[in-house]
Amino acid sequence: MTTALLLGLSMFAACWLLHVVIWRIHRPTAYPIWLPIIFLFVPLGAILAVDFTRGGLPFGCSAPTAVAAFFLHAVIAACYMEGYAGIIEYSPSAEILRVVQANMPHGTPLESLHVSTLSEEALTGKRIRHLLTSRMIRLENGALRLTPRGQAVVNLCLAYRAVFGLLHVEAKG
Amino acid sequence: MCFVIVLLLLAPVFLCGVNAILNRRPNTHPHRTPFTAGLYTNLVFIPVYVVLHVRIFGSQFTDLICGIVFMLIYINGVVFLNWFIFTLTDVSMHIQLLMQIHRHGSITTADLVERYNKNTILTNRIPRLLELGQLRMTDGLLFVGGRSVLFGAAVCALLRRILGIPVRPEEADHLADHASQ
Repeated sequence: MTTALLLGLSMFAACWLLHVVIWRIHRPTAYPIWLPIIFLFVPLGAILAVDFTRGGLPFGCSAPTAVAAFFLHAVIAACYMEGYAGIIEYSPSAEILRVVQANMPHGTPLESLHVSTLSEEALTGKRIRHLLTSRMIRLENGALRLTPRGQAVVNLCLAYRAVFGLLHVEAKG
Repeated sequence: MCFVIVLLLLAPVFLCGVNAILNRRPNTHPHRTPFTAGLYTNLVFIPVYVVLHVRIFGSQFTDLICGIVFMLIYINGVVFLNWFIFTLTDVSMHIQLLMQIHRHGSITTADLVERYNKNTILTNRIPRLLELGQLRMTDGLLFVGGRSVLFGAAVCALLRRILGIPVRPEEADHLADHASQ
């Protein structure tokens, strides 16, 4: 298990360094394509390349050890890739807490809570543009409509909430 | 080693199953159940792993500790993923905009922003932050109650700095304004 742990962590560390180097040179806008390439396909390709060229898995480990290490890497990488949206976007919850923290220890009256760091454009305008450019929605006769891709995302969310017993809980955003 | 692979495959199934059951109980807090299910998953899978490890590999200390660390990282990574997928369907602004359009079939941008805007987003977040203990309210005044969201925001800010992304929203707005001129 020591080998599996070290191999899994090293795999993630190597992929993350590659990601930082690429981002420092040029930050791609199509990150939902680039991140899986860097974190999933590159290590898989590297393991297969080592296996074919040297006739064995890296560090002489067994196939189940390599699989376990890849599972560990894949989970950490998936956490990072999911959290990446939170890195590039600014959380309204964190901005609320920052405003309240700035007024500590006196407290912030609820009615005077004002988050000036996030504009209407930064919250909704930018996201509507994202949905239009990623072809989740389309503008038709001045009105916004879901595209089949957007409808598929909505159906997936509704199916998830049905399976997890959350349909009765209103998602407020 | 194959028993580890079996445990790695079973842990997410167990976690999701427990989470789905917990969500169906009355008076449930869906923002907390992913973590309660995670706690149960750790409580079941870590002892099972330790027993199987000792029986199969023996009780060599370093290897056992590395195995436990491996399982802890893996299981809690899966807990984070499960919670994150829930929050995506619950609080993601992109998803909420899609849901609004889905509900209305077709809607103008002005009507959409009228229904889902900065005020709605911020108003909806305060009860959630109070429920999660991140904020507390005394005599109509809001106070910081917990540090985990602020800690997460600090980690995100550090990662933005490393990746060369504007650290604060004001910097991003300034760069966008500069680019459009």
